Amino acid sequence: MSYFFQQLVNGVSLGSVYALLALGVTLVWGVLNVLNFAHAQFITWGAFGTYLALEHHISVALAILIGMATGAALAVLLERVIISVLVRRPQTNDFTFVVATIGAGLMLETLVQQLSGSAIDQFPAQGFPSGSWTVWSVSISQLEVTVLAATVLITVALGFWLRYTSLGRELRAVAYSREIAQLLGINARRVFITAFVISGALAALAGIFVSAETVTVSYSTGDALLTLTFAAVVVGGIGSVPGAVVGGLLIGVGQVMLAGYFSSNFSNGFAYVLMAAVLLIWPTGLFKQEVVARA
Amino acid sequence: MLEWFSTNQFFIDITLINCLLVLSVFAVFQAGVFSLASVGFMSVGAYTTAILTTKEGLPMGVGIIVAAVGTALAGLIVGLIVLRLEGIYLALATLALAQAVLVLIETISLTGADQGIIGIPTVTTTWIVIPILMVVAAAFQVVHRSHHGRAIHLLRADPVIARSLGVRVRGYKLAALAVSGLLAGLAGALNAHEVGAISPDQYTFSLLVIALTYAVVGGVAYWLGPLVAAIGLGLLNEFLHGSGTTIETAVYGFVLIALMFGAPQGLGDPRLRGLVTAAVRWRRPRRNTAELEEIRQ
Amino acid sequence: MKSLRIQQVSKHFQGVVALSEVELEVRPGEVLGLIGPNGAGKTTLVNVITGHLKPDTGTVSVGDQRISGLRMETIARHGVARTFQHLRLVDEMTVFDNVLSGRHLNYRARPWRIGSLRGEDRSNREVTLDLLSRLDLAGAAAERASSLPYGMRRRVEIARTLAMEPSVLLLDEPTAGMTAADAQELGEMLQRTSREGIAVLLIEHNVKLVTSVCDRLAVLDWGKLIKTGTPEDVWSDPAVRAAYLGAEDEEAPSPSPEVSQ
Repeated sequence: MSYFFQQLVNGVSLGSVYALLALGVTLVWGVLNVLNFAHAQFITWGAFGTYLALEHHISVALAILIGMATGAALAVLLERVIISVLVRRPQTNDFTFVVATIGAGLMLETLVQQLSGSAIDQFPAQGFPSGSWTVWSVSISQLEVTVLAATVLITVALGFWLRYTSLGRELRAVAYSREIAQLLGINARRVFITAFVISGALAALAGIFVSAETVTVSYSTGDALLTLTFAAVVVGGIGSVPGAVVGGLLIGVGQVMLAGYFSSNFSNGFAYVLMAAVLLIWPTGLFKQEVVARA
Repeated sequence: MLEWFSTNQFFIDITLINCLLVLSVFAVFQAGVFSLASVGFMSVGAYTTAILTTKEGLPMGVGIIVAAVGTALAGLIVGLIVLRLEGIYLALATLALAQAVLVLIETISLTGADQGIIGIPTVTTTWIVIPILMVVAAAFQVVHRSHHGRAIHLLRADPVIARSLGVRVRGYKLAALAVSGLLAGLAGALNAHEVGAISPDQYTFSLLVIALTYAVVGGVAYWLGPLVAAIGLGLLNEFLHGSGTTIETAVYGFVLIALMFGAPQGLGDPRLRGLVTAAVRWRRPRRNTAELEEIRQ
Repeated sequence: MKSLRIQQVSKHFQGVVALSEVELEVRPGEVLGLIGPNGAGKTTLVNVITGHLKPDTGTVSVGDQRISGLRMETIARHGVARTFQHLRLVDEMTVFDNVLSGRHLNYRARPWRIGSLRGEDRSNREVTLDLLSRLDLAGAAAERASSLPYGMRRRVEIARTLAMEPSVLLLDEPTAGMTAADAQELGEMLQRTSREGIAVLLIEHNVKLVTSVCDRLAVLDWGKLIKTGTPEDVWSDPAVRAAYLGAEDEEAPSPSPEVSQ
């Protein structure tokens, strides 16, 4: 029984990383109708940002903020240079954005690969919470708890922000209908940038956590997480904030459980099979689309 | 010259086999179907022939043919499941299915799990690939010049017009997926017999991105574009290998972005013709006038 | 020679009634004008006929064949052709190819019968050429459709629908943007076409044209068919006049002797 709880805890911890990533992707998708294939780069660059800060003996908290800022800055760059140009043209469609963001991802990855010399560096995780507590013979690492706590805090904060701040409400309006929002005088451009900033910052945070847990960071840190993030977003429902969290947790728990009770290979497939199933059976995902408008 | 050919035989074979993969992507994009399953089909084709020739001891020819037919069928089945979706959802569903298949391959012992399969009978496939490519090119050309080709163009450019003219949109899309499966399966099977060993980690998302890049650069209007792109860029790749493989990825990325800036309508955009295709298409209107005169007499 | 029969067709969108129990028949050999104020539901009706939309209730048939509920491409195969209110052509194709694409259904030879295939292609191309000259487009055949002036583009779209050799022809405001002379010419061409046994439904705002060209008129207002009959009957009907007096962009004419066939 304790084995079950152990796996559950591990799964929730992994799931919260996915949730952070899914939140960013779902916001951008809900607001812009863009599935950002360059999202992995926000993860990688954010992790590197913190890595470099830590290497320069900057305090952990500040280093994390720097990392998040790096992710956010990269996201804004992508939005300004590529996304906003394409969005302005009425005939742009899914294919265009997917291919363009794939292209951007390729360029960014090459850049970070060159800059880091393709090396896999050791991530200085000393400043992060380490060690673990044992509760009812279940070992919970402090880092895992931190990640989970951070995710919960961020989700709640995001929910409040969407509902009670003017910018948050503007974002929901744009997600609901860009035309109506613009008729209401809402500056859609500001909303787009905001969505990307949040997306980049959260991705960076996820990358930092992953690097801390695995104690490594490299140019490919973000890659493996990309398609899993999409799976979480699809399962939870595009544009839905609670959906992103639920989707992320579901996939995280599912993966760990399957790895624990069957084999680790199955666990990889789980996310994809679930994504395919959801797309083919309930395309809107577990939560209705555009719940961002009602979050 | 001949020496260059014999020393670089392997590279030439791989380039030609990649042409098949690129044409597999072209086949679906041409019909306006945003499928990302090609590398998945490739793995199915490769493993089919690998298992048949190693575990069952069947001759290579049988292996390749069964792989091709099998993946064509797989394409058809995928189409039946997935074509109710559109755009990004279709892309994600095909991606998910391709990934799921790969995971299946990694798991079951029949396929050697993540060890892969070795000892596949090898042959220099050059004299197999070239005739196949020629037949495929001829087939694409015949379709292109026929009313089916016009219907496909129509369907890509404006499905509403196509349907209002009686074009069986679903049928063409299904056919496109089946052809895509066939071509990718052939590529996988031939690759397996060229290299002699396969493993699940060679069927990566990066491979799909490369094939997609060549297809998009070549243009989705005419088969010659992606073919030339695949050969040309493949050659360029080889010669630039000294300067490191990472630069080319960045260049591909840049090219993709640039192309999307120029052709924002994506698959249906008339500007997504690529350089070669544009040159070829310029000649078409004139050919029509010649035909007109011929008929008038 | 088949009639288009619309029986008790209703359609609503999230509570808004677009069509309400529409009952209409368009006979082969006649041109029926579908008129009514903007937003009355005329294009919606055409969309229901062509299968773009499914009716909530009622049926649509061509001859004995019920077409409501079938797919768009199947309905087209049953001989229903339409033009679009906002003109749909494949811009990067030549005029010739655009019209030739209307012959798609006329390629029936088996793939291995190369001789028949060639013959079919040849005859389809001749038909296309013939249509182009009939619509005064022969000179522009090799031009890209995007390079043509608006009026010519309209004619290309009509040529494409005629290329289908339909039993039923639905035209959605085909003379929009045309000069009066061109519009009249088109109208007369439609009359000749219908006399060949085709049922023609014409949506138009050009009152003069519709009065001179159509054998009958049907007036749609708020999704309801308020009057069907000859132009004289229709224009003298008080309900019709009431419906039109709300619209500023056209005047309902008085039934005067100048109405000629």
